[in-house]
Amino acid sequence: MAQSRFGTLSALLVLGVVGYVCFRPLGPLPPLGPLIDPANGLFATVRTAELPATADGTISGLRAPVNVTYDDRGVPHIFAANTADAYRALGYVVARDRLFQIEMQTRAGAGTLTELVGARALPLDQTTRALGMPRAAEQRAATMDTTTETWRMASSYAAGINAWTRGLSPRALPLEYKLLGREPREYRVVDMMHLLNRMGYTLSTSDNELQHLQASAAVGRLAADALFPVHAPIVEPIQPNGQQFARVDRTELAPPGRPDSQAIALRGALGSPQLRLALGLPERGPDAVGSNNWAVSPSRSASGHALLAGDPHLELTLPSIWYEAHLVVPDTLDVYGVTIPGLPGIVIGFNRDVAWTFTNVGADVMDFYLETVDDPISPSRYQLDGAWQPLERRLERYLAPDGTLIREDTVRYTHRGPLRRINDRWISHRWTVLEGAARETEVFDRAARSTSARELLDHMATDYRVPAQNMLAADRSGEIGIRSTGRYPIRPDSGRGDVLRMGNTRRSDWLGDWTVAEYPQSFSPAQGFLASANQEPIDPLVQPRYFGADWERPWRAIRINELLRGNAQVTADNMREYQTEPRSARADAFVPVLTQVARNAPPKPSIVRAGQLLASWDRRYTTDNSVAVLFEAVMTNLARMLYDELQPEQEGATGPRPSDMTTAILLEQPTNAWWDLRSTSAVETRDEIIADALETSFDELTTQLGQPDSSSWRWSAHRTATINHLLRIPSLSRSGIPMQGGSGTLSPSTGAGTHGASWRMVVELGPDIEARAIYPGGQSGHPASVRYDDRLAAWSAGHLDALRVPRSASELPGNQRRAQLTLTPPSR
Amino acid sequence: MMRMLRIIGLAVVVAIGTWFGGWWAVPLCGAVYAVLRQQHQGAVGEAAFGAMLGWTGLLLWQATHPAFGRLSAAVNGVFPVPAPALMLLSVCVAGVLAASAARLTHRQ
Repeated sequence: MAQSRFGTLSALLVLGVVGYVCFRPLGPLPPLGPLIDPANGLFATVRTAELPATADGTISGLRAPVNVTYDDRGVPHIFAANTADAYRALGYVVARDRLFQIEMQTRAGAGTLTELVGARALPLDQTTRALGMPRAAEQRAATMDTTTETWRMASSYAAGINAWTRGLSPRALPLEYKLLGREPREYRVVDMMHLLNRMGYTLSTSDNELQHLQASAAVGRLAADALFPVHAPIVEPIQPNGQQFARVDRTELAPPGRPDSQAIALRGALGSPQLRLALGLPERGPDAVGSNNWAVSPSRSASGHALLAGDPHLELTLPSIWYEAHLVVPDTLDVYGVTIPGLPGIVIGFNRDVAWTFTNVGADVMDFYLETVDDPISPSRYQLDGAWQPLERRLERYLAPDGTLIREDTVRYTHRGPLRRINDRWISHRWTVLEGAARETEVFDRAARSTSARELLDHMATDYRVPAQNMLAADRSGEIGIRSTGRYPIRPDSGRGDVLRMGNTRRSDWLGDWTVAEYPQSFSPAQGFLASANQEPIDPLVQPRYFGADWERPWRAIRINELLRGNAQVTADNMREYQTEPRSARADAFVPVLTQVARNAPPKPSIVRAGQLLASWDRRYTTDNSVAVLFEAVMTNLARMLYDELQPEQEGATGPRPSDMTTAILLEQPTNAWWDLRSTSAVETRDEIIADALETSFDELTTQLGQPDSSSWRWSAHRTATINHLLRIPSLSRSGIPMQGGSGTLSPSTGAGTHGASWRMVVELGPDIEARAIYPGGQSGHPASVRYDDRLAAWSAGHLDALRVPRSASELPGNQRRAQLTLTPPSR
Repeated sequence: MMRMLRIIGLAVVVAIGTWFGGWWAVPLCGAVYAVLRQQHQGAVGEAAFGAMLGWTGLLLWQATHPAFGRLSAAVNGVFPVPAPALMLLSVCVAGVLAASAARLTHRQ
């Protein structure tokens, strides 16, 4: 009897324990039961890895059946009877392949990641909310006119996503939901606003004020202005200025001066090395968003048709930020390209008449203000023009996945925007992203219906605000055009936005915006081509007004223009080759000087050998070259010695980093005081510093990697791409991907290799559009699908896929069809 | 022979129950099986074995899918154990759930 009772109690205990871990999450792990359930759990996701050959679906609100034919690249071609149905279907098919991505990225913009992944995402969410992004999205969605085309399109798209989600059985949930133990939520129109804000965060934040202030505090305002100039000292603008070569501003750079006392006083507010984190600005190295685009007029193309190429560079993720799709509505819409999962419309692509693509402008659209508040800890008012104004307060609640409260914050707002306490100072910011128009969701539909490059760019100029983009278009008539489109504020006084302004007066407020006529732009210029690579878009001699500061380095722009000027018979395949062309204009600017110094320097073996290696280099960042690693080491050491005055005294702190465009200017000023090392009593010159950098770099590399003929010196051993899964799970990510290119090349790769060409496209606008494109990854977000990363090898090798662009489902040959989906309204 | 057939029958019921109801069908099937086999020694073991067999069958069925290798590779990096170990763990959990539930409802 006792034995039986013991057995029963033991069984109860075992069942209780095992049942508990099956029912309840343990730490970061989801409940074990649903996860290991072989019929509905983790392993059941294998059944949804690939698209079935045929499938049916229903979407409420559809007015007619929609035929979706997937081609052999996994691209859905949506054939619908009307536009609203097309966008419903688009929402459905995007959700079918990328449901988790939609939710993850939307939550990132909404600051609600904690509700999906738990408290570990709290810092990210706090940043998002402190930047004011969710409030702005909610306000925009609340004020949307529900009778407009924008609303109709957005709500149709959301309905498509929700139709897919509602039809999902637990066993068909994406893998990530099972790993997190969550279920998808309903998608709403406001989520699109969150996504747009997220794109704005990625592309429209700037820390010009921070760099400038830190530099001023170290070496004075004049020197800071020289190191972080408002205008790029190497002028190769997007809007052609008639030059055949880049114009270099050879004005002597102001030497390091006395620290600026005002900047030192403010450094407590903006000078902290942690400020970038405190402000929630994304950490970006050079070339992180190193996008390129260019177009060639018929007069300079081999075929006599306009050509267009684009490769926006962003953080690379699996699944990709892009999803490829083709929408056809008879007599209304026939557009192919890439869409952002969660947003209706083709963002970059082409129709039967026009092709378009973007690069980021990088204009300064975010300003910071030092505010005077009534209480240093918990203010309720701020001073403005001598009177106290109430602060708007918004309670931010962060919830765990189970709905419990993790934390509450109060975010305060002045009339300019969110207010934050940083190092005992109260800083507010104004940012165009928070004031964007809701029509950004509609503008891509209008672009897709355009019949000429000019019409497309005019639609964009009317309705598109953030993030500002260099929009390039080409059409079948042969016109090419580019316009830096977005909202650009006009500031008072000096007009500069790279200085911290006082918040206690309305005189610091923006005065208005640039007009479209003032935007940098050009249509079918005499030179026969247009190109952009994030450089300063307009020659300051043409338009001196402040547009931004610390511009992206000009190396890619110089190289593209060099290639296009040198080829009067450009082919589509040339365009493809150029996208991964490994020659470096940056190396062209520096190597001649480095080798010359090496020849004239004291004959130390390391300097001689380094000079010989650099002289023998073709300045191409091919995977098998062995000199790029030396060049990069020299550049790093050079910057370290050159800008030693900017290095903070405290251990481990990093100072502001001038661009190597500034370093290139200093190369031509060999006795400039910047070359002098503050740590020595002697006065060093350029040649001494360069010789030192060559010797140090060569010695460091031989110590670390062995002799230069060792395989360890090969560029492929140092430069690979890493594409992380959205949840940063290593087995769902891909790393060690060979990359041709380096800092400043057309396919730039720097840092951890996590940024790169997110989409490469080449379009020839002949009687029939011919287009080739690729993005890293694949159409499916399902890690077990062959379509998860099937394009990776071709992308890495610089290849493009020929795109299928059928006018009707029957036009797609049988051997190019992968699957069929028929969408219908629910039966009544 | 009959015993083997009973276990196979239970495995089929566990698999169907799991398919439609989820993991909790396992202890339920174990408990019910033990009630039905109240007078028989070994019912608890049979319940465990049947549940393990049912889940093994489901896992093997999933493993026949061409994408299973890719899924296993993905799972390998997510958990501190490789996919086969996770599958083994699943089968063991099914056995423990069924056995403990069966023991609670079995009077012998």
